[in-house]
Amino acid sequence: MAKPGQERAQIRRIQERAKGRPESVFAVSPNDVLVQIALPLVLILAIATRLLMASSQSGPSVMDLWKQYLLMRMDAVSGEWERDSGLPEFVSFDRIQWEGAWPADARFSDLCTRAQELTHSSSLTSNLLERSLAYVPEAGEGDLVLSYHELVEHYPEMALDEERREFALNHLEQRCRKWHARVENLQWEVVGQCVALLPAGDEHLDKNLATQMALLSRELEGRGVPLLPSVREEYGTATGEGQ
Amino acid sequence: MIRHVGSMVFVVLLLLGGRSGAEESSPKMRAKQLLAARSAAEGLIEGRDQMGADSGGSTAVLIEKRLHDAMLDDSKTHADPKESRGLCRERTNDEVLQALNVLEVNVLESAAQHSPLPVSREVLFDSVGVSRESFRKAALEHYAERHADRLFTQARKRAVERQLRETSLRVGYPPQDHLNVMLSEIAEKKPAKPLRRADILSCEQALEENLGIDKLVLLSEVRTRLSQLALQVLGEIADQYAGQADALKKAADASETAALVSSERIAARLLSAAASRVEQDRSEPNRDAATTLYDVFACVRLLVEAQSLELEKRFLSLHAAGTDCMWPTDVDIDKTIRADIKGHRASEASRTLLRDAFQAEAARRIVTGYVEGGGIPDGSRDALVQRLVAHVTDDEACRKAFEASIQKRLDAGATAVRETISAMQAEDMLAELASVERLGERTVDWLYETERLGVFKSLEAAEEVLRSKEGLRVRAVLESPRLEEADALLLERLNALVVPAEVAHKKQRSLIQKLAREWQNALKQDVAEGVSLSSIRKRWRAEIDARYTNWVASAASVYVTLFPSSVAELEKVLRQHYVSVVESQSVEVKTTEKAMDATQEIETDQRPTEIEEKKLNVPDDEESSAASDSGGSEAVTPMEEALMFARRAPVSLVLSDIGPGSCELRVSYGELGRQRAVQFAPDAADAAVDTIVGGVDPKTLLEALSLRRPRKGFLGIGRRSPDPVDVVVVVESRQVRYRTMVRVREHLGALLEEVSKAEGLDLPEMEWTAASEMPSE
Repeated sequence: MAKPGQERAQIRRIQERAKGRPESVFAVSPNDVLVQIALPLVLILAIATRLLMASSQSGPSVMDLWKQYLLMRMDAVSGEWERDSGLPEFVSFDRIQWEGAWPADARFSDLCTRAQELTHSSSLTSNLLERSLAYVPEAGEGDLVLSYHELVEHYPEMALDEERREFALNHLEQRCRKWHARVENLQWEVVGQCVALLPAGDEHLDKNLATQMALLSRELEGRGVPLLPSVREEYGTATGEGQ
Repeated sequence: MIRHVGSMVFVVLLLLGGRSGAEESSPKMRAKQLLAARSAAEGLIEGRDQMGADSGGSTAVLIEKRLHDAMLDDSKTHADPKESRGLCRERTNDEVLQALNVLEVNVLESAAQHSPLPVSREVLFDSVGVSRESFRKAALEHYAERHADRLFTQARKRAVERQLRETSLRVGYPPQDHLNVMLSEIAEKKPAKPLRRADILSCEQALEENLGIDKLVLLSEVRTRLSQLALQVLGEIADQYAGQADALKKAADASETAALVSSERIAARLLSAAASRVEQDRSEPNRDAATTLYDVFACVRLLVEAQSLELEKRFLSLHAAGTDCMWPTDVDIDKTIRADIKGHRASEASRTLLRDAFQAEAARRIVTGYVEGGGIPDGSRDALVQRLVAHVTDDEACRKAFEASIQKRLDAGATAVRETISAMQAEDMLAELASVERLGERTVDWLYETERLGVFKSLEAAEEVLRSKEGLRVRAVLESPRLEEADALLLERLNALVVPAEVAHKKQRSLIQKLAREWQNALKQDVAEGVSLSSIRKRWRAEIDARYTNWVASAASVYVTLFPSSVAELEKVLRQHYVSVVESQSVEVKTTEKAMDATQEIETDQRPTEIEEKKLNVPDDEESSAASDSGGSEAVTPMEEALMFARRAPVSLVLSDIGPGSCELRVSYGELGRQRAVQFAPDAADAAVDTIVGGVDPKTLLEALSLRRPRKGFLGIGRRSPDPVDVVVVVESRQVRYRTMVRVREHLGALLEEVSKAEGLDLPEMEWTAASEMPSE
């Protein structure tokens, strides 16, 4: 036996049908569809996608022996170059010392000067590779106290063929690129700071961005802070493209 | 449904966009944002500064063009340069703001292209260093100060030049018909006078209406320039008008025009002259081809019409002035005067009568002669004569010219005629006087006493003599009508009789005065020696007679003996001098005693008795004088004589001393028999004056003066005896100060004048006698 509410609904449907009004054929509303079906589905898809991306980036790898020896020596030499450049000291822009609108920091000057080597990364990577192959780890480093060349003499199968050399150079290239990016960021911050501090109408400001960058670059270089070409020539040369 | 789909997309983007969100704050991006913002700021500042640049400032060019267009599109609003400058300043500000907006958008777009991060307006103006409002305000001020005026001036100049280029061609010479209407409107106000240059130049408004310039909406500079051009056109028209008017004037001044007589013929002559001038101008080889040469102006024809009538009158008056009037003849004038001698007695009245009688006919005769001499055809001659005769009446200049000409004739004729008639009339009167050689002595004395002895200025002044005195019997002649010239002849004859009498009379008087001066010392000696007054009188009379006889002989005077009035004058002068001499030689003690006696008499407050009066009276006749002379002990001092004289006067005041520092005033009212005495201290001048003046009662004074006998009488009968003095003041006192006497005299004089005026009496005469030694202040 039907409940009174169901009876009233049936009676209403009969009345509406008698009046000719269309009757809804769906039992759920659009809101119900969105909340109960679509959103959970979307969330599931998003989570699955994220998980796939994570698994593709962090899978455990098993490297060859030559690769391990070579990477260890390349890391040591690269770290040496990095320490010598002073880059680790400038973990943030705040470490740079300023005088007025311009940087006045000898260490930063040295970094920028040394960073010019990053401009020609191929020669730097080749240099670093040669230095890595000649590098002899010290005792206690958990490695053989032999240079890679000496290792190859003992284990000819570890010799660097073209493919392995390419791998090594790529590895060093990645390191150089990271250093370049860090220095470049620092220099952009310096440029931004200079521009922010200069008064309106200053002689180093210009409506032409390339000209303005050239003026700033020249001034910074004069102060011992040579900019990377990627920074200096962001807007092209002063007579070239620009605004 | 759409809303739910949007929400889903947002969530997906949120999840996928995690990496890109981390890059937004990279140093490079921030630096590039700053670089772009600073560069945009520099571009904004530079763009602002270049907006008004002279060379290639597109904004300036745009603004100038828009101002220029605005001035031309709405010239009514921009007509006045001052108002236009204000409007253009506002317009310039708007344009500058719009340009700044465009500049902002441009630099922001450019910055957005070179900045990975958005460069907002706030960032941009942070880089500029000022707020947007301040930047825009400063930009407006900068622009207004540096460029707004220059742009306005340039735009205004170009707009004016363009408008002037478009409208100046409309300014030209109006058609003759229109010009005639314009000039005739002015000429009709003063048709007889040529137009002045200023009159023609005042047609500027009408000319602009005619050329359709007045309705154009123009910039004021253009309006001014067009007005100048219109004035140049009017100036040329004025020159042409002046040429035609000059031709008229020359023709009017030509002598042959004057002979044309009638206005119609004169007008034809003047118009011909004006037309000739126009033809002469047209044939000028060097004339400006762009200048329109007009025919004879309508207003010139009006001028000819008016001037020809004026010239007709002028020529007529000139003819009258230059022609000797021949009518009326002397015979006509003689008949007219003789017909009404009484009316023509005065020459001026006679002129009026003659003018009334002859002027109209004389004028008509002159006009007729003028017309006949001008070659006017017979048919129109009578009408012309009537018109010209009307000019003589109506036109002032003509009337005066004719009156002068006719009056000249009348005066010439009347003078001759009146001379003839007056000579005839005078002949009758002078016949009566022909036998009279000199005036009688009584007549001379009468003229002297009545102050008429002298030259008669009119016959009326002498008429009483003619009517009343013996020997001048011309009464009948005087009563007949006569001309005034006849009166002049008679007056001349009478003056010929009077003048010698006056000379003789004056001479006698002067001889008496001279004798008195010369014989002063002799008189003193005679008095000192006790010579009697009678003897002295005889000697004086004999001397005067002798001196006068000598003068008569030398001057050939017809008056050989002294006039009775001169004999009386001699007696008076002699007595005055005699009394004076006697007084100066009298003893002071005697004077004091006499004064005391007089004081006692007055204090009785009674009328003097007949006996006393007899004692005091001085005998006038010879017998009394002789008796007095024989009794030398009864010699009378001047003060005594003055006191006696005072007692006979209507009013007398005697001031005398009654002791040291004490004086007395005695006032006697003659025939009223009243007396009054008051005492005063002579040292207190003010109190003394008040006491003395207060002692005279005005009512009693008036009463006493009213009892005076008449001073004048008919022919001397009833005249007063020789004591004409009404008020006698005798200062017997020697203590009364001089200033006191002066002030008393002033007060008494004023009192007498007041009393006499109030009652309509003759001003009383006052005689003042004082002791010889008066204390000074």
